[in-house]
Amino acid sequence: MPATAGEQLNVLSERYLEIICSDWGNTLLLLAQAPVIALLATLVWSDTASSATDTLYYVLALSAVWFGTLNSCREVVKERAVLEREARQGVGVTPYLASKCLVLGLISFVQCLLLTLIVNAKVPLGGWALLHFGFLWLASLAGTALGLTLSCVMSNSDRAVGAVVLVLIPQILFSEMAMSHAHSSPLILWLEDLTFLSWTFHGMKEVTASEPSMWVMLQMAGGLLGLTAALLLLGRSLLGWRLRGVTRA
Amino acid sequence: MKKILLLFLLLSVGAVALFAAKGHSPVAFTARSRDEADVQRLTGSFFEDLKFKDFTRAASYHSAEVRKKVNIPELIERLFQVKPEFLDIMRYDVRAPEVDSTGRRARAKVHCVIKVLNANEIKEPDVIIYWFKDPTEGWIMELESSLR
Repeated sequence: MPATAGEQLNVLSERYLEIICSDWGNTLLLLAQAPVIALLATLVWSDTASSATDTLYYVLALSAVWFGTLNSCREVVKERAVLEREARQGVGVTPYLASKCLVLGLISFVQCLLLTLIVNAKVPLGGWALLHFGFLWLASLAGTALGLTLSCVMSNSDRAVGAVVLVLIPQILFSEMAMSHAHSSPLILWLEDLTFLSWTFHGMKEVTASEPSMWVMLQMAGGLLGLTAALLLLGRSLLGWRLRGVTRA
Repeated sequence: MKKILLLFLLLSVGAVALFAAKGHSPVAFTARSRDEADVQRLTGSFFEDLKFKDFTRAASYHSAEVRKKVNIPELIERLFQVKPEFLDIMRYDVRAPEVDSTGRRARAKVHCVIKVLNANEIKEPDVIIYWFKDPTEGWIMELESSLR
């Protein structure tokens, strides 16, 4: 009797965690990104302001998205041969992608926690810092979904890393920080709604608003989760389509 | 998967404990720093208007009621002890914006570097600007209160 999706997820996620832990040099490098970026940010903002500015929220959100995308962009493509072999044995695409999300979500959790704690210690972020952390983690999860989708599409690791720039630069371009809403066309405003940066940035701003609205924060978090789910579904479909020939054979 | 979920749980508890230890409990969720940031931005913007002698815009930080009556040149003469026509604000640095416990009053200290043009003299005065939060107009300035 073939293993259920839940059993597959259990085995795949434990195995992936072991692989990540065994490559401790690379894992340490991934985790070290957050404190380095945080220290550089505090270096800039502690000199210029005693409290956080909108640009700091923007930089933190961008860093979180970047962490997630870079952590995940090679994770499927580098295992393509293994995945093809296992797909022939009945391993499903959904538990496979879910196992990646779980472990990479854990790594981005630590990265965003370090980023928030270090920055908040030097430059108070305002509001409840745990909520800032929550938004940054959701942004990083969305970045992870984006990276995994790229990894499902690309044919090798180098191309996947190269494509990261192509998907992250538009996040910066279609944002309020690049061009104010007063000067943006309806198309740009619509595209902005498709960027994780926008949802994260507005969520963090709402956390520090004079009268923060929980409903608005939930909307922003919902937007991020919706984009994450949509990207994972896209990645799942593309990977399933690519593996179709293998499983038939 | 149990291992991962356990790690998530441990990290989440650790995160909440760390943030709580830094005094950011949900009860203290009042977002005071956002007001401080607003006061800092408004004070900086006011000094930029003074630097470029835009007295109409400088008056706009006051309440709508007093905006037309307020005499900015006279007030800055009292603030810097220099006639406006001889005042060159070379640099200003808004420091330590503070909001009181009610969240309705604030102040910001500004370190200025000014040049008295007719005396060719450079001074570095510190001034404090006081702000009040109006329910309808938001943060408004009373420059006169800063001179008392």
